[in-house]
Amino acid sequence: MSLSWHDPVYAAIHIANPEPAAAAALFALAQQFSPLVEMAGPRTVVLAIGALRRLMGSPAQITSEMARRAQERHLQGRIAVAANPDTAVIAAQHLAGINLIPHGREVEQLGHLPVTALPADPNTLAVLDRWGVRTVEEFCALPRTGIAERLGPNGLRLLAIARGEVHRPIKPQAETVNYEERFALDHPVDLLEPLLFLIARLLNDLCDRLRQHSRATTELRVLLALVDGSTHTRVLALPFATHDSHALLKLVQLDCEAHPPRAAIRHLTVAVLPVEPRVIQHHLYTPPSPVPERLELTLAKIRAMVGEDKAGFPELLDTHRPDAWRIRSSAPLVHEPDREFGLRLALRYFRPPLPAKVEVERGRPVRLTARGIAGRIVQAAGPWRTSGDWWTAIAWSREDWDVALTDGALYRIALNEVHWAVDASYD
Amino acid sequence: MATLPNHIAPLLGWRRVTHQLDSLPTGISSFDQLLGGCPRGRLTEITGPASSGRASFLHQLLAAATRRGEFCAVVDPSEAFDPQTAAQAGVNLDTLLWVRAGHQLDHAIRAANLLLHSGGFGVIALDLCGVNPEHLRRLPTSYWFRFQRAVEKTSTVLLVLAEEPQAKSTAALQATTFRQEAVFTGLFPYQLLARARYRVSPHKPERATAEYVAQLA
Repeated sequence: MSLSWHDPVYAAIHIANPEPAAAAALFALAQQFSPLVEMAGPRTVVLAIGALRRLMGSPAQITSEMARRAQERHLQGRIAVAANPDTAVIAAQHLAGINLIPHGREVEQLGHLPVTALPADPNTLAVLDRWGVRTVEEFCALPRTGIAERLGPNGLRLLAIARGEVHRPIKPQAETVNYEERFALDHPVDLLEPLLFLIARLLNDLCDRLRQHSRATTELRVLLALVDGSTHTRVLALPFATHDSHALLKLVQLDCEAHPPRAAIRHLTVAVLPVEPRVIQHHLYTPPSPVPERLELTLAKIRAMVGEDKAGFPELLDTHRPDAWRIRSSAPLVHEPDREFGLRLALRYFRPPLPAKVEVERGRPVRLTARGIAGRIVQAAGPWRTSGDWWTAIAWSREDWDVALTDGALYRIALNEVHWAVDASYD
Repeated sequence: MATLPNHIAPLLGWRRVTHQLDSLPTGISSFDQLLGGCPRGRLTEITGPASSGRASFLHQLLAAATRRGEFCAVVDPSEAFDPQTAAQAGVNLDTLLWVRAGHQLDHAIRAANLLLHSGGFGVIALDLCGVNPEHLRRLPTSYWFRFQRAVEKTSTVLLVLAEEPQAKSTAALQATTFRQEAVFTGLFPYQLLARARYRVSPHKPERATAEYVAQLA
């Protein structure tokens, strides 16, 4: 009987090499053949090879290719192919060479093995030993009902494994991917261009790795070990997930130009934080918006020119203090709902406020003079007295007036303790 | 230009615009009835003195664009933009990029240029009100031609606000705003600034004057 390709087919590889690095090499070898790889033991892997028929041919051809590649990696091992993963693992661990075990002939091929070859707990093995059961064949000959009565569900499962009757899916081992690259320099680098050349190389590798594993990144970390013994660390947080190495390199370049290391570099580390990639489904009628990567690059260029906190998305602060806002570096993901709105009077602030001379008669301002502004006040509304933050070091107290000058211009002026200032104009 | 043969005009550096882009309604109904809004892919210039309704016009345009889900940007060399009254006018601040150029005109011009080339914005407003007129006079005219070229194949409205016309012939729409009156309600001395009435007069293309009233929030 030969293996039927209509059944799932599994290959197990067991190696004799004791060193820890060999286990990683074994896993990498298995991944060359299938993405469904299960670590069945410290030195054993089992993988699904049913889908390789079109690519590589029969199980014999696949196993010979496995043996060849294992030899290239200096792995000394045994290979077994069976219709279920457990049989393949037992055969690989206890039978020498390459073994192909067709479905239905598991007992025939594994029967001579000691019963300790089965994945049983010590108590069960002790019971079997007391019964005088020494081999797998003897165990398989026991009646199923008797096993169930005496050993329970675990015994039944062990019997099914021994007879090759367990068909279970592979439990794939999540591959541990390293998203960090290091580079030690023979000679310290003190210029930006060669440094970026090296970072580009590392970023290309990292972005390739992200793409291979369907990942992107939202955080890039650059650690530069300097010749003076210190470490220059830069963390670039991105508002979007990307694996575009060109965009990342440009961001690193702009950041390095804005924050150069203080000494030459002798060792560099680049790491990315892997996250789920961005999935966007554009609506047919959605207005176009800036491409996030390009917008981030543009913002980085603008921030390098005008300053870090000078470009961003404004957010109002929850306070009664006038002109209270902060700048967010990126657009929030949750947009505020639409509100009713109308044509409102807009303010144009003078930042900083213009120091002013205000003539006051009977408690009301009557004349305003400031840089570029002079005139008699014909109408005034106020005072609007507000104060706040008195429980902190930035306590404020002010008296606002809305005033109209003879030329029709409208201003908001403020009396802050004893000093008058023009805060804004209505425009 | 209409009388020149077709092969002569490009040699002279003249550019014939053959495609017609739509306009972005400003939300000021009287203005939109006259012109349909601000033309996309073109430069629009609004000029006027202080307190003539330029900022109210800007906020209305930004509100109209951000309500449609468009990203907008304000390049602000004078750092005069007020997010609070903008939000009261209906501007969605989540999709509004604000660049404060720290009173550096050259930084503002470069930032506007970068944003134009970045693409994807519904409105990019360059607010030159309050900039030293001497600095504006030293601005090369070629900058405006560059802006005109950069915006013309996009769906962006490039809005320039200033006290005096700057973009000149490169602007597809030019209008001047005027202040009409400020209305205070209540009896002296308990008065309240209620609203201001403004007038906007397009002179390229020439149209009748439109009026709009901005209420105090």
